[in-house]
Amino acid sequence: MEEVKGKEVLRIEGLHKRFGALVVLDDVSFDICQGEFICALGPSGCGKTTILRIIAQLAYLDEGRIFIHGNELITDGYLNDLSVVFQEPRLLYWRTVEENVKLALELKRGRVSDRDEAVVSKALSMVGLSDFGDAFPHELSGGMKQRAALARALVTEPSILLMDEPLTGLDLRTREDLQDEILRIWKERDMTAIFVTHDPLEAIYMADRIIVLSDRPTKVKEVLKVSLNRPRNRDDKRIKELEKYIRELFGYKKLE
Amino acid sequence: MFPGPIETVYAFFSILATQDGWYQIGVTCYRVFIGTLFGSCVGALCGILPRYSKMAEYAVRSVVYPLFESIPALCWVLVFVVWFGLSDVTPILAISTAVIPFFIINIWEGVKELDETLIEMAHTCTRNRLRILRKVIMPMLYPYAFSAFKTSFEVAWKVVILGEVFGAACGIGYMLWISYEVYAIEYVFAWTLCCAIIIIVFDYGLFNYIDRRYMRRWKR
Ligand SMILES: Nc1ncnc2c1ncn2[C@@H]1O[C@H](COP(=O)(O)OP(=O)(O)O)[C@@H](O)[C@H]1O
Ligand SMILES: [Mg+2]
Repeated sequence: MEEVKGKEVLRIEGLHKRFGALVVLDDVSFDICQGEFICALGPSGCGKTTILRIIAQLAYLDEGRIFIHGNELITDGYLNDLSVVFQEPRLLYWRTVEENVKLALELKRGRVSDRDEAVVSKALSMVGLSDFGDAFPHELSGGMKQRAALARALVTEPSILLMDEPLTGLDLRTREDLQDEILRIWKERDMTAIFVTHDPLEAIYMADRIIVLSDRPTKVKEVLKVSLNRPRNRDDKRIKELEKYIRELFGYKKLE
Repeated sequence: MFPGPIETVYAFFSILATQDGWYQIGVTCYRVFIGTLFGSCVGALCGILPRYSKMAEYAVRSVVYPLFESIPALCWVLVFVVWFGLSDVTPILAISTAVIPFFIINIWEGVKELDETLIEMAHTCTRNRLRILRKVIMPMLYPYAFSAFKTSFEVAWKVVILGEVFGAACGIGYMLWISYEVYAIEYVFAWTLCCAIIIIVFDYGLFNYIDRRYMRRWKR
């Protein structure tokens, strides 16, 4: 059991966000500790993407505070330390997989050196795409595109990884493979991860803690600690029980 | 008498046989190249700046674009002759003013079609807007720039002749005019043939080749 809780990396307090008259986030607060795997679980349209965009400084919050390592200042250091995997792969269609991965370094540093070739190929092998470096995105399957996006996020060696439903839309088999690979990489790299999903099973399988979000206007319904040993077994009865519990929280509503 | 095809072809080859003939062709090509290049830079800038500033959008939409779009090429040529006299500058600027609207329109269109999700992704890697412009935004605009170049090239050739008739002391347009003045109509036809061949070679040959060979990867 993961009883040793690391230091707090990120804390969000009283997040409010409106789009015009539409109140999306209505007081969302939670925290994330060093090395933790957090899942944000909520129905479609409840503002999960919006939360991640605010954390990654792609959107502004209307009210609320964000603390990074206990400090309210958003520094370039924090943003350099953070990578995002989006729901869509968002690969540049004119670049090969390898060039797409390299893009993250080019953007971050301005130029890349020969030494970075090794870093890029390490990232590619980490996601199992070593043989596809020269392929163009349109030649890849959905799962492989998302692997490439993951490699691009990892190549800058972030310590915080934000993932916005990266596996939604993939077939079950690919999904489960990638769930395991993401967990493996998260452990290996000792990252702090925030993983957004609308699938309770996925959240239970992956998370140390689940932030259960309500319908719009969104609040935190409950923070669920998942104290199952890793690696977890998908057929574990306790996973099924937790799923039932979560579905009851939502009144058995379909989450998609 | 009206010259026939034989006289025209004979005149055409006698142009190609002299160093001066090639010089005149070279001068005109050089003006087309520089004029289009300069116009493309100004036009592309006017097409892309509105993305970054509301002021720029207003300026381009209501002043810059209408200015270049509405004034006929001949008027520009006459204005430039007054300002710069008979020199390279007159035909070059005449070309630039003529191609600028094509670049504004095409690049602006491309800017509207930009895939914002890719730009947002880039923003998670850097806050340096210039890098995002160079690595992500500009490549998305290449196909639009290419089609602007294609249209501009044809327009540039029409304008350069006009510019050289009125505003230059050498070049194909100037030679056309001189031939006409001395009533050497077979040379008028021969120089026209030169223009036509150059345009066909570039348009059907070079641009089609670039399009097939290199442009595919930049297209969605
Ligand atoms: N830029 C925006 N402008 C207007 N409305 C938005 C914008 N982004 C998101 N929304 C709205 O906010 C709500 C939450 O969106 P989102 O965060 O994408 O939800 P989720 O990721 O949970 O499905 C949706 O109703 C969406 O329409
Ligand atoms: Mg979403």
